[in-house]
Amino acid sequence: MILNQYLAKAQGVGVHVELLSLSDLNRRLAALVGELKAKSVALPLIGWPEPLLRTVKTEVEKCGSATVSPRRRMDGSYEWNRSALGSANLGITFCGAFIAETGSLAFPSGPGLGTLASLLPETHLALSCAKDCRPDLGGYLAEFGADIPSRLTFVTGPSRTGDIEASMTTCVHGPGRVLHWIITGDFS
Amino acid sequence: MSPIVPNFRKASREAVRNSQVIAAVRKTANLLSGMMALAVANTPDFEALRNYGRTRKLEISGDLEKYAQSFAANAQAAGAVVHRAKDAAEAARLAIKIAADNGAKTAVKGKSMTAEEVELNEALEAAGVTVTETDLGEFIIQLANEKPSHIMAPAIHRSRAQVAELFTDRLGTPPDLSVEALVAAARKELREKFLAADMGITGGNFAIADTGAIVLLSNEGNIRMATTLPRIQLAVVGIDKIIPEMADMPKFLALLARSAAGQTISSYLSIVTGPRRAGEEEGPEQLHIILLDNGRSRIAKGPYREILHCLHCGACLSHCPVYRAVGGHAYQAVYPGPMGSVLSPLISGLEIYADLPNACTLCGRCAEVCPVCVPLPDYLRDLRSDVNKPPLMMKMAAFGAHTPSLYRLGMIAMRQMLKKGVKGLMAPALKEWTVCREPPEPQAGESFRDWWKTRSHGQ
Amino acid sequence: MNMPTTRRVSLFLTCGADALYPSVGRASVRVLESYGVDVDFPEEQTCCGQPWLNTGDAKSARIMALHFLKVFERSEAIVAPSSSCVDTVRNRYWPLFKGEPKLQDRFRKLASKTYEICEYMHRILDIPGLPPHPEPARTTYHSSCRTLRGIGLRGVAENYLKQMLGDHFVPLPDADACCGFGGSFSVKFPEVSGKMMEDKLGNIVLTGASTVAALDMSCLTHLSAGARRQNLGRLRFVHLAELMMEALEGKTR
Repeated sequence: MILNQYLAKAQGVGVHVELLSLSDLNRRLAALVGELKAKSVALPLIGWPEPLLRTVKTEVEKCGSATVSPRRRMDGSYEWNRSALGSANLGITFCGAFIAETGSLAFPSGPGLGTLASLLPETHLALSCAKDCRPDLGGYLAEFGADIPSRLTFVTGPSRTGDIEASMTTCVHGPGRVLHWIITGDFS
Repeated sequence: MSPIVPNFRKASREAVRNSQVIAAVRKTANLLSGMMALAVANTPDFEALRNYGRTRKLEISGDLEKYAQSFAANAQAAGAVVHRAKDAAEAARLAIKIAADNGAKTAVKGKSMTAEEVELNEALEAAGVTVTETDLGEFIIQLANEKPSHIMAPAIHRSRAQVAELFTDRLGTPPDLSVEALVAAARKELREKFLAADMGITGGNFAIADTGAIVLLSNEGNIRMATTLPRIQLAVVGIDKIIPEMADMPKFLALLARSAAGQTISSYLSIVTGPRRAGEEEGPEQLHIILLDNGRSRIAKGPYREILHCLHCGACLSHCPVYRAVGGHAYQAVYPGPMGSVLSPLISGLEIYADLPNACTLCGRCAEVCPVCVPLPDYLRDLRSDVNKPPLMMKMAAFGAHTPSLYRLGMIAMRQMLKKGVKGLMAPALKEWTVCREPPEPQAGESFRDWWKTRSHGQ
Repeated sequence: MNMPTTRRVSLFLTCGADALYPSVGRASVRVLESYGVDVDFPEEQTCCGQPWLNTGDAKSARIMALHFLKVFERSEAIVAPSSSCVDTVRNRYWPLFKGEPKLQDRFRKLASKTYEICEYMHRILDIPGLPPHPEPARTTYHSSCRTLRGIGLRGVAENYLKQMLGDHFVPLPDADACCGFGGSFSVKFPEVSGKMMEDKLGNIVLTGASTVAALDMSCLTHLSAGARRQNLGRLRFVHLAELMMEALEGKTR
């Protein structure tokens, strides 16, 4: 029910949203990476269900693309290689919560969670588990209680502007194309 | 400070003749108001939401300082540095000091009307900091060396063709680019600035008292860049932007997004609570928040308190028939249109902006669309009491108008005068009337009162 | 069974009809009388005070309001052929007397029994329909700001026009936009007022109408004076009550 509401909302704001099974993921990823001729893919490694990350990483590398990920330093903190990140033309992120009411993807910050992967490349692919759909923004915010991350980012469709003659145009500073693949079935 | 004394009569006289600007303003204003109407129609409980917004804002504006202190304490606890600025000059000094203390030479800036109020760009540039506007509309007007003419759509007065010409001139792009190509050119130009900037400057759409968070909306993604990439972040926020709790935010967001651009939510919503935390690879090392008063505490205690409830959505501008006839620049104020005609004189001084409360036909459209029900026409009418000196003719007329015998004579005199030519005290008003119209034409024949008398006698 | 009582109405003529358009006053009386309403005209009446109110002279406006109260307080109902004057009496008087609850209460009572004539026919007399007009001309309707947003009357005048004129009634594009009159605004900023007027007249011309009706003669004074300046030919500007009278009496003027 709320998943249907999410699908309608997300499509309404221009997200290419699809439901697919884990077994379909390899084929679909290969097609996307091929279509984009993505030489380099931004891929934060933290927070994923393990089978999902394994599939993504294996498939991207199989396609001959390099992955750019936040690197773990000796002291346990993470850092991006910003120039490598800047050249990635696809960002793949795990989205652990998406909001039916608004059609939004939620990305809390945290060590290794790398929200720049959903911002700098021209195409952003978010992967989620169907069970992670939330009814509304207020309810999701309440989940954090007093423990709000330093950056909580909601992405609702592509980067867009109407600043020239109110003519809606995408891909201003962020991605012009946002894909959201929601993986069905229990695999975690 | 700008040396020009604002004169709406003179500026608007020129503005109405600029058909290119008016056509561009009208096109966008029509689209924006159309999108808002659709979004509101698709929100069944929008009236309830508006009432919630107004009621909640009344609580806030009734105790502004309490919420400001609570916000400051919680933001500090989250690791931000909060500065209180009593006026624009102090805010500018603080911003310059923050840049200097951190050796910041370049800044990328997201759209902020509060920063315009502070004249932040001018101040930082004078102190040797290069500020690049990154919102496309603001980027356009920065290239053109202009001021925003709409609080939500700053370049509303420029057509695509004019923007293309400007880009060719300033960025060397090929002539006559399409909107898509112009956007791509701006992306390329600004991406480098984002990656290189020392400082990111933003405003704040909301500041949440109970968590110390700044909430920022953007569709382009420039705000995300400015709050993630540079090592220093500065947010300049008016104390009127504070709302009590995180739980209030989705409701105010719903009101703002629908009214500003007919959206349910903007493409990006960033909730920023303090600087980068231990272990994180992104976000600024320091987050500075300048809480700007600049008259707001004073306004909160006066009769125009509800103007502080304004969400700065711009709906009243896009719907205002005067704004649509003259564009934003004619107001010669940071805040134009209905909300600006109330706020600008209250912030900058009634004597400077005495024209603006009068620059309104009291048509009531603004109050009808305001997402938090600010009584804008009532305020504009009341402000006239503060700025206008009733002319002698009106004072005399007032005496006549409640004295039945004099009133009747006055009506007869008016009929005769309009038939035979206007002289004396009425002449100046008629001179202005006939700038665009012929004199009013009384009907021939007997007056109503004469007709009534004959009729009653006949019965 | 109760005998139907005769309704009594005091006509508030308004300055526009008093100085410029006696036909509007006459039509108002005859329309009301044709529905059996007993109309009286308190001759001591003057102006509602709107010009002072809207230029920020609240002191003078209070004096006018008190005079209006004196003249009309005992009336069963007050009817005026002008939305903006009714808006003033209904929505602007009582806030002028904030510290005086008893007086404010009297103004609230006054407010509750003051109506625009078209509004009175619809809301109080509950007139469902009007007869066809004997010589229907192509007519459009200017729904003034004070009709729409002042007294909140939407679609009522348009319905009456449709009944009287059939296909000869043509709705005005961008109908809820202000015509640019705005009282003192029209002489303080005549260039802007003129620009807004041009747009409104442009839309009127687009409809091909030869008659423009409204419930506010002040807007129509501004528009007709502008139409003459722009040589727009023979446009007739009327209060809706005038067309109603013609339809009810089966003859034009």
